Amino acid sequence: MKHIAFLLLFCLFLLSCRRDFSAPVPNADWDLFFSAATRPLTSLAFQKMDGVYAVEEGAGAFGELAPAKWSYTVTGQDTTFHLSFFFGVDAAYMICEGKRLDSTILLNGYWRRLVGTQTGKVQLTIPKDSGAAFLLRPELTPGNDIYITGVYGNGNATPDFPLRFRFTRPIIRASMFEILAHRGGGRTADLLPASENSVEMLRLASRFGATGVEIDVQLTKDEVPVLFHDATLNERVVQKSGLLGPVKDYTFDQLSTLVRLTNGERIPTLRQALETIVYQTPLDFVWLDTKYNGNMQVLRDLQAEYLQKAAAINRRIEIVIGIPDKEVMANFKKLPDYQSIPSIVEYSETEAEAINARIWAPQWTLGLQDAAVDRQQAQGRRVFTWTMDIQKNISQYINEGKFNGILSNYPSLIAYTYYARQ
Amino acid sequence: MNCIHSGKSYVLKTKASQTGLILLFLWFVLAAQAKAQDVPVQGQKRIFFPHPMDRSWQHSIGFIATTMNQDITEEAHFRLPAIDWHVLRKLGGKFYLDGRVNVQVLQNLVSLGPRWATQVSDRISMSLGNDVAYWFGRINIAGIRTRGHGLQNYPNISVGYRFNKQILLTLRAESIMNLNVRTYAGETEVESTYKLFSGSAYSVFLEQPFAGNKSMTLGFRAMYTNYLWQTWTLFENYDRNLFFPQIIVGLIL
Repeated sequence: MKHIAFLLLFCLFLLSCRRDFSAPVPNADWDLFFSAATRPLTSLAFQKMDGVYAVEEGAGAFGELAPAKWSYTVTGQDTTFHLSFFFGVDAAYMICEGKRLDSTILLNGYWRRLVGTQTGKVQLTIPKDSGAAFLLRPELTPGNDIYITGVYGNGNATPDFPLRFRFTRPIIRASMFEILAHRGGGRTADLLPASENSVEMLRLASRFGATGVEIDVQLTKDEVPVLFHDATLNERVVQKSGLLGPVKDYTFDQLSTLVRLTNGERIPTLRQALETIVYQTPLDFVWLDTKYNGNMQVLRDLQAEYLQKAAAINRRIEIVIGIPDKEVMANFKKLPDYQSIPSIVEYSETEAEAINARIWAPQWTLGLQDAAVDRQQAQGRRVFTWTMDIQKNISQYINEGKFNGILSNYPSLIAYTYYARQ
Repeated sequence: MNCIHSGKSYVLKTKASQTGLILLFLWFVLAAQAKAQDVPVQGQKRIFFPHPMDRSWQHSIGFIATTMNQDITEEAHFRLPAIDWHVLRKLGGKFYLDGRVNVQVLQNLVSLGPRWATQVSDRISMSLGNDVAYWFGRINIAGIRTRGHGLQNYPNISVGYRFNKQILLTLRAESIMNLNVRTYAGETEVESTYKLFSGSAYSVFLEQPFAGNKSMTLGFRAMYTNYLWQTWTLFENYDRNLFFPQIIVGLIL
């Protein structure tokens, strides 16, 4: 019997071991898609695929509606286009690249259920007589019947579950509603392909449905603004390096040389982040969440510099300085002519008025606050709310609320709810 | 953007709990080797050991410390202590009731459930049980009044082994079922995403004589669940069975 007891103890020990979760992006190996006969799709074809689709097959896994939105990423001289589908089930999404094979369009990518770890391949086609002919025409003509059919699978397994989407209507982004992605696109804890607050994550954000991003800014010991959320280096967001303690105790060179984010990226400077956003993504809104108590002139200088650079290339973008509390507010008020600096106040409505902030951003748990929202909007101020991740409450806030934007760890869920309701 | 639940940051490594489990395991192995007077289980105070009760009531008082998972609490890494009052009431034959109250003042849990226990051999006993738990809380976070309550069910099985030197070892496996969760932020009802079968827990308990005629319980519980009631204020909707280790210490009165 003693042996049985020891055996049970051993089993218990095994069962109590912590499991590491991961959700690696599946391989995109689809021979047909990568065959020599395929050619790139134009941005116009992607634009014409924007729309709300009815899920005619696969609704059991993804729900009945699938808004789709195109996005791009610029890398050097190359521009990569993506078509993303957003679903109302478990913050699921699909991200596909596209090519044409003669008169057929091929979409190759992956799906992910963001609240869990499930992911898998997606292989879709649009035959010539199912809309491809219309999509491949070189002019932007209004809607047509588009049927997207194909398969999806689990993990790296060959996909064999059927999918069929039918175009129902175009999507409209009315009155510039902002879909804001938290921490540059998403949290490290959500097992995305890039770490939070990294340049790589910024490149992904629009594929997740974001129109803008919130990024966390801290100052290093030598006053370089960098993207980092936590006050200290810790294993939640960085790989083991031997360095611990406050970020502000290290120079940028030390951080850049010795520290890697969870997925291996370097901690980026704010300059690198803004350079990426302005020149490589379609994002049109940047919320600089000030995570330090200190000199804000460096932040202001970079904000002004990149607003000018964006204007120089006719890039419409807003970059606002986030003011989360009274300490940061006191520092902000030391800036010359602070009332003309684009800013976003995260706490007091009165303070937002006092500094002429462009945006007031109350926490979502404070409720819909219709009267306060009306009051601020009457003064020409927009109102965003943060940080909403729960489907039922997102639906309520989008359908019943009057907010001009929502910040979320799951921008795909905001995108689904916003585009699907129109 | 700050997490809604801010708190003082403590550097308490979750992995330390696993080290504790290993030490506990070694302790039992060594204890088992000791040759000493063999005391029958009927003469020993116990609260977790699965054996038919030989007295009408049995109480223990102690604490449970739950280490939060950093996927949820992020940079604030802390352990939540709770007062743990545990009471057993003999019903007759091999049946008894097992009741527990976990008090953290702002959020509390009460559970009650029947046990059927039997002696398998001279040294081994086992029990089957089902505990129904109700939790409730009301916490003001950054000026926002949050409140919540929920109903849970814990079907469980325990196996006990009586070592020499009055050492009682209990292994327990439980299924964690969330029957209902309702949470509110101010007047807004916040949808809580949970599953009926939310996860499972595996525990090891040691009970042995302590000072006077008291006995002591030392336990470790490894919970894997996609919804831990103590995290209700965070309004998270992960669908992954996250790891929450618990240390349980009690004095059997």
